[in-house]
Amino acid sequence: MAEEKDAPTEMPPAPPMEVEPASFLETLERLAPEVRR
Amino acid sequence: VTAREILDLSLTEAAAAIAARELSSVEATRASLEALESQGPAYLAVAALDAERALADAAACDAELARGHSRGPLHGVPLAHKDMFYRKGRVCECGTAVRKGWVPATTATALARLDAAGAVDLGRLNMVEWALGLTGHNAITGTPRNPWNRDYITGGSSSGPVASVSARLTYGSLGSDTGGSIRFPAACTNLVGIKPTYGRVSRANAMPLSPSLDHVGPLTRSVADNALMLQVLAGRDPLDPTTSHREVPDYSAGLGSGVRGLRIAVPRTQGIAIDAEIQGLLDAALSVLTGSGASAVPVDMPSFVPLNVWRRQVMQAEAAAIHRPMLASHRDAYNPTTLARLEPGLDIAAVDYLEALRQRGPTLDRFVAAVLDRADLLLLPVMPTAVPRIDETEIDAHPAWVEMINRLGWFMGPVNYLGLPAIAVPMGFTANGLPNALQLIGRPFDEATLLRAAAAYERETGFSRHAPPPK
Repeated sequence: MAEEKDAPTEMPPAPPMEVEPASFLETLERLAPEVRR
Repeated sequence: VTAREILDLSLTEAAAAIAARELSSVEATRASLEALESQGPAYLAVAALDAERALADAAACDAELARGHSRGPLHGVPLAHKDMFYRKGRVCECGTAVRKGWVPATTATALARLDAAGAVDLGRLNMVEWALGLTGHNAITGTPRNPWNRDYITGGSSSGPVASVSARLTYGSLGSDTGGSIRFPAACTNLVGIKPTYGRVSRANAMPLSPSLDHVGPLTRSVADNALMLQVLAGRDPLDPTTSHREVPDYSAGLGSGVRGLRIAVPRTQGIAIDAEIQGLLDAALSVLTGSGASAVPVDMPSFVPLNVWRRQVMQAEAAAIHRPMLASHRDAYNPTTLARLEPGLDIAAVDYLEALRQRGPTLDRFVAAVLDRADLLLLPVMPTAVPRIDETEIDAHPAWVEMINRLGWFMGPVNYLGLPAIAVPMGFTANGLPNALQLIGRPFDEATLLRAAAAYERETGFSRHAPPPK
């Protein structure tokens, strides 16, 4: 059972969020209605 | 005032009553703690309550208010949350035996923002193991029960939150949504759930499932309550580099503005069979919206087939990468349903993962051009069927379990991939007596229009005012 094993104390690091992390957020921001108009 | 009357208040009403000192935070906190303790077990909703801390915090809120000081818009309002939002020094178990007794060293920004707005944290609510599953099944904590009918799923992965909020044990709850985990359980329990735009609400120090797709948002009994919680949660967070610097508008300001002049996109074809009774509810919902002054705009919506494939590849690859070390050491402790979703991710080729991410921006561009340049909102179902029973969605009960799950999530996962804001709003009841919900999808960072349209629909129909039968 899990309790008998050593529970991990830290969450492993998350993988990269995007190929280019900022680019998808930039796409969303560019497509916001007041920017798009 | 009875405890029942206190808990039947909406979150907005409770906040106003506490602010006006017509209701004390201690009274509201005690009522909610007692309800979670006495009725929570019937729905397997609660992981652990934090009663002592909550009552002390409530007493402090009352004392501060007596001196004329308010912490913020949620001053003294008791809330309880999905067990995946870290609080420094307090156990957080994420619905899994692997995390039994685990104590984080940091606090989730979402919790910190609710704290700063004055909310009282009642404790931790059950969830699907690692937030990886749409039906709510969890053999480790027990599968939470739907307050509308205990034989039916609550939906997941925010299962304990929707059971607790729907059963009037607490006023509202934080959920997370990687492929529908806010919208689907909201739909199953007659609640309002919003998945904000990617970048609108910080995920910092919330358990990651798939960072490219994870969203944090509120689950509430009404649209106004949802707007109130989102207002507190939204905004730039230096701890989450994917949050936007954009200003946060006043989400409550437009709730009474109605839908006159709004254009609602309706796909000419949905790309998947929708059960007749769900289509009937959707048609009726569209009639309500157009009858209130919105116009329906038929659109050729890009196919959700590739979007569902890309979302699944991103989700499974990122989740598998996070879990690989723990799978190596603790595989036996995982639920079979979790493994069925998680382990295929170990075999996804890096080139497929990168291609799925590379397609995301261009796909969003095309989707907005085809649908949301022609309309203010897109109307879709949350799910194509009535809410299923617990037994018929067990992994062993269904020969094509994966296909069934993919069908349930068909209309939600692509919205995570696109990062667009989406809200689930109660749209009536199916023949099995369970609620169901429509899904409105908005343009990036246009949660205000989503909430405005949802509020108008809610006012016209009153569906979200229906409460489940008492236990």
